[in-house]
Amino acid sequence: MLDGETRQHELTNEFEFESEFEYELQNEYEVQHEYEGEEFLGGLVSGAMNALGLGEGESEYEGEYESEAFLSTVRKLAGRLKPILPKMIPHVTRLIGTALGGPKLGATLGQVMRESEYEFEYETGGQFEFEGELAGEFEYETAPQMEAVAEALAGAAVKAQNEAEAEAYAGAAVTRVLSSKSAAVQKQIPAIVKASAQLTRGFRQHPSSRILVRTLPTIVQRTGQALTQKAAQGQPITRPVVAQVMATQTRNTLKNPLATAKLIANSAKAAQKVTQPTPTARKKVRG
Amino acid sequence: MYQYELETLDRELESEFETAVMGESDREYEYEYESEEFLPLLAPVLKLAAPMAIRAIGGLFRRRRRRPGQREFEMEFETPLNEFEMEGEYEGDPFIGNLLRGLGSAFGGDGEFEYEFEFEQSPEALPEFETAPANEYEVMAEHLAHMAANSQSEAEAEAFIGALIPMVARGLSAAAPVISRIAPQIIRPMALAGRALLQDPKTRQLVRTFPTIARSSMATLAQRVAKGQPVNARVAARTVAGNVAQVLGNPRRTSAVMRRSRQIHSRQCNCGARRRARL
Repeated sequence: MLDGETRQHELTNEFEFESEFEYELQNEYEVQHEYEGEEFLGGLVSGAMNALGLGEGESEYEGEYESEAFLSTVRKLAGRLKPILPKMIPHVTRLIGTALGGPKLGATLGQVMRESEYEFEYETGGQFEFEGELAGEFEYETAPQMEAVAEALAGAAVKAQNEAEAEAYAGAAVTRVLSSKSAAVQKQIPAIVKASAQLTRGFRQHPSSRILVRTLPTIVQRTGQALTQKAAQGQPITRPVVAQVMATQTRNTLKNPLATAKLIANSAKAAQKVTQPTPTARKKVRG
Repeated sequence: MYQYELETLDRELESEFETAVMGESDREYEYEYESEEFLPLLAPVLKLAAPMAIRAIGGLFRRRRRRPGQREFEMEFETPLNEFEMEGEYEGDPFIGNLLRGLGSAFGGDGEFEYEFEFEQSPEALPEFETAPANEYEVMAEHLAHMAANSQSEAEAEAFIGALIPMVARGLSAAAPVISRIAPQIIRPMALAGRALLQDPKTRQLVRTFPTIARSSMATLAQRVAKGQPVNARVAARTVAGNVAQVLGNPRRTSAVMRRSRQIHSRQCNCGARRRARL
């Protein structure tokens, strides 16, 4: 847990950083604005991002995460993610395969994920039955929260100015969430980092899909868990196996737009815990 | 389904991984800097590399504004990449300027490198390289640094540099709660320094000193937090710059750090480095 002093330091850091490098955030929003006319995420995303605690108006939404406004934002974000995700899944799984096993494995994994697109379309083809799906999603709340620092690092990777910096943050987030004690899995950490770098690059290729970088800690954590299970069963953990598992976990994480939107919202919420200023400090800054 | 294909690829990759990790051009620089007899060769490389890395970190303090109509990707070409090669006086942070002047006089022939270091170095900041045993996290951090030094793209190298920082933080278990809080602060300066060193094949292998630099930076920052002093992005960047100067500003120390890095990596890491070293 954070003690008051450390939080105070965090706050000082946060605001100094903002004033020193404020152009970064400015870029983020200006770029979003520029792409408003495109068929992907438009201006609505900036509203959704604000509501998720990613924008300037974050303080207005404090305590409203479970409110109807928050849920409607999640729905809107899910609606915007819906056309992106079917294209994104084969693309990023191909990148994962290529990073770990060369173009041949990349093509194989991309093809397999493309074939499973029919299933995916069936799953998301109709209108969302929001009430039922959201009720199901809230059952996820019982699952342990992802480590907040990793979520904050993923958030930094979303906002990073260039690919290299984004991949540095992504790499840090990956090793932060991978806590497997299995030697076989630990040996594959560099491979997972390499694949995650490609995944981050794939997500960041378009401003509208950038926000998906926030799903990286979840994908990596689930990959680590699946690999640990395989290692416990005595199966060899090799790079193609890592690629296969990571591609499957990427698909599972991104296959449902509503679940993905909820995941992004929870990620922003967890990351906010790390960067949220103490009430007294906040008052001082406002004053 | 595609299990057979995966198994075939697996066999191919096992051998491919051993050779593809390191390019031929990188291999010639890998061990060159570690031996005492090569210290005269290392000094000119460090004379180039140390200011380049510190100047890159100093780029964080430079205010940049987007011109009207200028797009984000256009800014990337302006700075900080081109700053690495900029000659002349650094005009950003005074602490970084002081470090650069100190490096200039150290490599100018005035003897031992000295500079006024604003932050007190903690005893564990620069450990005895030859004797201290390495834990599993340190081994992994060294391996990630090795991967960064030999990676094929700059972005991938930065992913490895970013990844080694939490590993180093885990290795410093004594101050774990504080360290886990401050570790993200040093990612950006370390990534910038790494990007500067990765520009040139001669300086690329110096990335293998990064676990030591990260460890000493975290130890210094943890001490600062313990004293109740603030730790912000500026302080973190200055601390990293100071530790880069400590390590890369002294050829003997750089050589010792790289020797230890290779020892840990080749003796304890299970990635095939031992076999390659024997060959």
